[in-house]
Amino acid sequence: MLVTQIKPTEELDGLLPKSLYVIHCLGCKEVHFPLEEAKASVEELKGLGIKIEGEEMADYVCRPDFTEKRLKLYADGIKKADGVLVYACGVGIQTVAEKITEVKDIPVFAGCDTVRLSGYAGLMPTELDCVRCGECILGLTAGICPVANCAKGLVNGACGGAMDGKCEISSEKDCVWLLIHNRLKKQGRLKMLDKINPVRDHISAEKGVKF
Amino acid sequence: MSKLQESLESGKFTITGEIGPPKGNNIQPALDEADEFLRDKIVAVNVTDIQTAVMRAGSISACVLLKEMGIEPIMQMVCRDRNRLALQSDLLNASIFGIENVLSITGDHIVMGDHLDAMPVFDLDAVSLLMAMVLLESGTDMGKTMKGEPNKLDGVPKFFKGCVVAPCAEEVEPQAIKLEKKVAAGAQFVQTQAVYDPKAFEAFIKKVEHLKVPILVGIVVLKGAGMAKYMNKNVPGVTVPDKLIERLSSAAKEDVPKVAVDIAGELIHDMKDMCQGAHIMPLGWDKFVPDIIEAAKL
Repeated sequence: MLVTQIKPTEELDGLLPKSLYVIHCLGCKEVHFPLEEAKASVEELKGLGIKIEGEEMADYVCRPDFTEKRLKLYADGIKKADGVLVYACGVGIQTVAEKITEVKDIPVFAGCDTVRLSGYAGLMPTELDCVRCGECILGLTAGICPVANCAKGLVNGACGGAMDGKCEISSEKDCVWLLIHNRLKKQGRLKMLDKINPVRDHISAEKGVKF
Repeated sequence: MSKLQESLESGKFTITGEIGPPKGNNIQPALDEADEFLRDKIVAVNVTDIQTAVMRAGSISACVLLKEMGIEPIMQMVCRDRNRLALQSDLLNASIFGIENVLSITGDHIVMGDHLDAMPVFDLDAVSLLMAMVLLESGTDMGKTMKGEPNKLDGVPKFFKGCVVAPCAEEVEPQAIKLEKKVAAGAQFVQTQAVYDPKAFEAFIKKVEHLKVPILVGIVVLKGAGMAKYMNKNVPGVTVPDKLIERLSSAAKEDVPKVAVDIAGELIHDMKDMCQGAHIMPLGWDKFVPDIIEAAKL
């Protein structure tokens, strides 16, 4: 968990399924986590008629092994839900998206935007990355981040440079847009791509909490 | 209205060509080739924009010079090297010189070129650059005034906006979805990556025909079997079938250009009823473009 800002309910409205499992990450809480606002956001979603099948506090959701165990622990609630709403940094959300398939292959949604915090660069090394862009689109991209992982940071789809499914900058690197496409297709959610803002706001990252 | 737009709207099979600016300021040879082999044979000439991230002269100057010569330019514009301020500004620069045709491209990554330590920009991409052009055409830009209102341009440009697509990419569906986005963003014509497989091209065209946008099939002249094999190994979204490689490798060395011309001509001929034109990329073999058009039997 880095510094996050809770997404306005309007941004989530129309995007979320009828029932959700909610995970709040309290890891690195010594930095900042707006738990009260997150809980208020969940209440607003209930008001919109979304059923909350369970709500759990966890910490260090960015740790894959830890998160896998947690998700299995929450399996009863998750199995009743059509999606998981995660309030965590981009790494945490991506970790849940990767591990959720161990329990049930349902879409993962970002409840917040991760913003830049000077002097703070995360707690543990992991292959997943969050560049704290401040306008999280993981809920639209099958929990796989193109901003951090596409070599061109593209938000409007594959550039056409991929060969054998690998990125034009390295034969070791998967084309993240093909991963996103295939996962969304599997979930029957390709239409999500239409909801991404085609122009990035590079100042969003700076709208963080000031210390 | 640009000649390119006029030609496509008239329903005529439209052929475009391409020149690449030099690494240095010696632009004359490229202009001479356009003058000698492309003028009157084709409708418009693309000018590449720092192609494959190899530093060289950009697109605008050659477009201006072509226009002065009475040859219609298509200005390619990549998003790798300029942010949205510079891109919009250069669109205005182009418009001041009367350049109308602009081809929006995301651009190869820096690592494909010769300045590996440079910063990749990609502030916009092929989709959002088209949106920027539409905004400029409506008399505003991507920014806002201090009061948060749309800016107002003093003099409004007009563009004929193009985009690219790879119809034979290994996964076609993401390409089709992206093309839909480009058309929704304002693209009025499409030039494709090289196509060597008319069947695959036909399948792609069926996937995107609801977009009702004119498509010019990309023809990269195969200058030999070695080049064909290189492309198969290294160029994404391009597959040269074995039978074409066989034709090139079995030809005597002096006959290779003839075979190359025949192959390019046949490809255009085979695909002419599937699309609205052809974009010939001769990669320096501009002198064969008239023969290719002849061989296409249009």
